[in-house]
Amino acid sequence: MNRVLLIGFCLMVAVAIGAGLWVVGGPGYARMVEQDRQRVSDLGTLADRIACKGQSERKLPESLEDVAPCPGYQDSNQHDPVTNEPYRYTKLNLNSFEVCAELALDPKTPRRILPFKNDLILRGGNIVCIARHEDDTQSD
Amino acid sequence: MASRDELSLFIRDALTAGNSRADITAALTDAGWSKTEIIDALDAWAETAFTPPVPRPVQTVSARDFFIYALTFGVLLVGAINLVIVLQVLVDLLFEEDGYAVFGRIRFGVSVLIVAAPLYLWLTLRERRRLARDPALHRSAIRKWLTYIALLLAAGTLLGDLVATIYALLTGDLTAQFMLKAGIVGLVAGGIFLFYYNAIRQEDAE
Repeated sequence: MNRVLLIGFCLMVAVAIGAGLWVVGGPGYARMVEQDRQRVSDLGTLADRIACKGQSERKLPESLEDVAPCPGYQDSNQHDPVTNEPYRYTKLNLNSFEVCAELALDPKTPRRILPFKNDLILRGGNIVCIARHEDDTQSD
Repeated sequence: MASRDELSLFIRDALTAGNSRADITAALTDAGWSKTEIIDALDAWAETAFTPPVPRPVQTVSARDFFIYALTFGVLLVGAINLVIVLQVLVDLLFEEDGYAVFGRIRFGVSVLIVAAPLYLWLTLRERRRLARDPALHRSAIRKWLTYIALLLAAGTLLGDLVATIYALLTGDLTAQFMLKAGIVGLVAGGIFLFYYNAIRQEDAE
């Protein structure tokens, strides 16, 4: 009787470990998810800093190098943490812009896998962008 | 009020002096000792004609036992909790779409299981072999106590699980998801309860 219970216990633990690892993915996958989280979070702070709301007569910078510090907003990473490439900044017109990053994982996978924000714009490949419009009252 | 040590000494002296067990019982009853106290105290000495009286084996308490059994049951407790957490989170993921936040709990639970499960198995099997070789270990008071504590915790968990299920039924929350999760708790706690219940019964039978 107790032998059966002990074997059942081993099976149950094996199932929990196996299914658990299968669902969450291995260490390499976890690292990529974490990097993508960092990229998306970087895009958010970078966009806030570029938009720099509350500052009158502010003009959008022409390129990432021209981004001036914005009081009240923390400094943001302007470079991809892994490839060290700068994030892609595009000034769309006088009042709007977008910042983009290339993710390691396909952002179109179901949301239960990746913790992505709702305001992300999905582009071709693994590229995601955050767009801001100066006249938006709810830009984030 | 005389202590039990003095009672034990008295019985030894009385037996050495050649008094019969019936006489000793009568004398002790007159002195106000209860029947169970007298029987327990007399049972501590083997019923042989040999003098001086031969003591029966008593329960032992050793630091080594405490280390081994506290470790075994600690590992069991932590492992069982994390096994339940991992399985319940997996059930949640079956039913809910947005579950990224629980990935960390699965990773932590799996880490605990990878350490706890082999350790528990090794400790338990090792202890079983030792018990088979040396029956004196059956008299470890710590072993007995911790086994009963494990039974108590398992029984409490089972009862709580049952109450939660009935409560969910009454509030109309008895979904398939809930039933699966309650079933997991019942399975783990029930398995642990049966395991130690069997061990105790087997021991009492010997």
